[in-house]
Amino acid sequence: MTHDVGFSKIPRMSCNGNKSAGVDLSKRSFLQVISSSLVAKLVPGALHASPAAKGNRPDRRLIVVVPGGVRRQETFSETGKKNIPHLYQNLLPSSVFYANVRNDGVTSHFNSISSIVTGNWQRVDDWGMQPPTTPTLFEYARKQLGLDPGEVWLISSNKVVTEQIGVSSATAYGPSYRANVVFPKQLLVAAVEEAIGKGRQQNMADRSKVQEEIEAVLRSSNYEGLGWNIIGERQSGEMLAPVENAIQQFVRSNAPATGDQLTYFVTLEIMRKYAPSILFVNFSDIEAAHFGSYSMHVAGIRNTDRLIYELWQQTQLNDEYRGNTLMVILPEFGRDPDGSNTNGFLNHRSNDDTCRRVWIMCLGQPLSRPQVIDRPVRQVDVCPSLAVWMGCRATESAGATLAELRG
Amino acid sequence: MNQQENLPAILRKAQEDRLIERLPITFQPFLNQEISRWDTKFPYEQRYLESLIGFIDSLSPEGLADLFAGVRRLETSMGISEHQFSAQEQTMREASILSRSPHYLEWRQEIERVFQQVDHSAFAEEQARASRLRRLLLLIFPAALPVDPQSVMEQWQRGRLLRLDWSADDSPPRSIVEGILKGLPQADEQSGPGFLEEYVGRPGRSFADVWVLEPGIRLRTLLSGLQSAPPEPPRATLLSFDELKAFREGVLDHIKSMARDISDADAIYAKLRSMDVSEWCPPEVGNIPAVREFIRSLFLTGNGSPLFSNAFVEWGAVEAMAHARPTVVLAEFGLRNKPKPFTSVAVFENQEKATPQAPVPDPEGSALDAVMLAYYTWLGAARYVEYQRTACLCLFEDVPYALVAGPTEFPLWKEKEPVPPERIAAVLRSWLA
Repeated sequence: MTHDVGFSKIPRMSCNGNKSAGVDLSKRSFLQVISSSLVAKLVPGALHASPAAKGNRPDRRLIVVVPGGVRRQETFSETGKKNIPHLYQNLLPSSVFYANVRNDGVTSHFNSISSIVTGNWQRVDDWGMQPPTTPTLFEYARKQLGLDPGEVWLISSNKVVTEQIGVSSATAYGPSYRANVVFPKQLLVAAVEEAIGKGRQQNMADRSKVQEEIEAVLRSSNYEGLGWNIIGERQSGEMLAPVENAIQQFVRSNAPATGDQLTYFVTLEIMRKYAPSILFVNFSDIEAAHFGSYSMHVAGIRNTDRLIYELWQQTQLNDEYRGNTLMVILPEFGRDPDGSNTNGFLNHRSNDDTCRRVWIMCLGQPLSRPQVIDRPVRQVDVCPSLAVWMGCRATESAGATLAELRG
Repeated sequence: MNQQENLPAILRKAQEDRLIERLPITFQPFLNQEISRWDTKFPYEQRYLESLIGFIDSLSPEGLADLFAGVRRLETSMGISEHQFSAQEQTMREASILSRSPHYLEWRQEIERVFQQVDHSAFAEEQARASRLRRLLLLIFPAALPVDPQSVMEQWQRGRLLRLDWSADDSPPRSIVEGILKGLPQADEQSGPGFLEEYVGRPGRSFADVWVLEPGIRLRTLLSGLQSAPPEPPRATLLSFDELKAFREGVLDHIKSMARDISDADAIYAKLRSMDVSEWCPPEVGNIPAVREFIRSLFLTGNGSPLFSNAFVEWGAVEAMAHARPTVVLAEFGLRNKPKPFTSVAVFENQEKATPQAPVPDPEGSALDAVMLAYYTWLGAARYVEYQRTACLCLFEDVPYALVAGPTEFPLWKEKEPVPPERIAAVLRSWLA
């Protein structure tokens, strides 16, 4: 049986976004930061790169993390909170937490993410072959705030998300205002497939050779077949070094060798190099559920919990982000209920609350006081609220603005 | 023989009446598909299809219009006529068009209403008869899986943990599973036939009445009486994840080659649906068209069934109950390996070949998977009225316990502990009598 967490029992703490509150660095994440710095020193140019030359650069930074589909019973419930120790114990007390959020759209990956980034329920091709039909938050921000191309990034592990997510088909916006889109996990998948296809399986057992394999795909593909779309990259090749840093950290660290871990390292590199104003991160280890392994699904939830926490800690260590960042975490949807004819946690097609009811956690400054909001809100309310927070308006969104995020 | 000639009179008449063409377009591919696969349907599915088609064909023009008025109205709202819908085969492209419509949920409810009405009018008698049958779901957690029976009971919420009277120093040594599924040792020290082997030999039994699903071949080896040699008809449906390796790999090779594009996906699925798969089939699958097509469909519907043995066992058992309504389902869960570093992201690659790294077994992860999937198997049975008198027994080989669930009339609810395996076997034999 699922029990919602009694939020009122959670001790309140000051917001982590407050510099004076300090950062609870675990030994693990501390070592990771140190190791990242060492790696960076070893790779020419890695730390020397500075955020993009500033055109109109807002004072605020926005990070949106969307970790696939998770049910209440595996997360914010009495039975599930053991799977999310960081979200539950470390982050919830200092957050604005919307406990009653609905995905009333199509509960497929591409449509759900499109709905979140546009503030309208999108009903486009599930396989990501069509762009969203109304403008994205990326386009609103770039057009209205005059942001440079390097200011807006979407980084996704999920292979169902395509570069079409970076820009809508809305005529007043479009490609001139698109986001950069990268798929780190696809790089890893392509490297594994290439090694197997060419009979170099033995390389997959040797970390240094794994690194060579991934880097070879990165350098030889020119991003072809990976679906990446980085504005101006073909001319500049600027992203090669940061991505190679991320690959090195991924291969050499003791962190789990999953797609989301690579996505996380690439995200950190992009934060260091560009410090983008808007960063949208989509994790998908959780989606191992589709293959029928509950333990891998739960391991994905735990991994995601850790990565989100470490990402938040990184914002507190990075001068470009500390004290001015809003981080918003929301699942795409839940998953189907146990006993459904769609085979429960494996899928996300049912019309039940288990699949449609999710949550949103907001961290950082400036926010209203930490609180749990029980009133119903919708995922399409996220885009207009974040647009307002960034200083622009999502003029074509059907969503409402969330008062607590007005800052 | 022409397939048309195999059809029963009711379906032939419906074809002559051009019945399907008079139905809403979103109904047509499903029914045409079912009729075209008549020869590979289980007896239960054939009875259901006959009732369904017979009922619809018996309706007056007004009755037919009434039954489908809601679906037609929604098809118009959804703009279905603007799309080229195949009348012959359900496709991912069409499913995707439907599911993206703002009216999709309403359409789904309407389809459900139509089926409820048909079931009520045409199939209620058959369902009432079938619901009176006693059935058995026997789920095995092998010794390799560290499963805590108490945690399983907490998840199921209703059940009884039964301590077994079990001593490992029996001579000759027998496992709990053998003690329950086989008869007492005979003069040659071999176990005699068990209650299931006796059950399949009773008159009127078909291969679709007893299903055995397992990761390896332990159960089929133990229960040799469930197997038959052609030309004798098969006595049971025996499915092994390991034995279906060629089939699984064949399907996965095609899926791997799929471009990220719905028309390519439909093309590959169409090819997999129609290609000759006999080379991939072990004899117990290839020799029975209904079972061969069941496996093809099982792997195409995915849910992890071509990838992990426990997902195969669960989804196979759930689908067996949906399509064949067996009387007995015997399912054993198993041990899988841990995902290998780096290569496991390429999910459809054969992990044995993807890297020379030695596989590392994952007993804890496998146990967690098995506990959840055993629960889903039980919930899968609970969806059908025909399974309301299903006794369920989970055997934990690691510890001498069993979990009893099902109707209160099942005698093991009241059995005095500890219970010897022979007593459990006797109760199950009598339950199925």
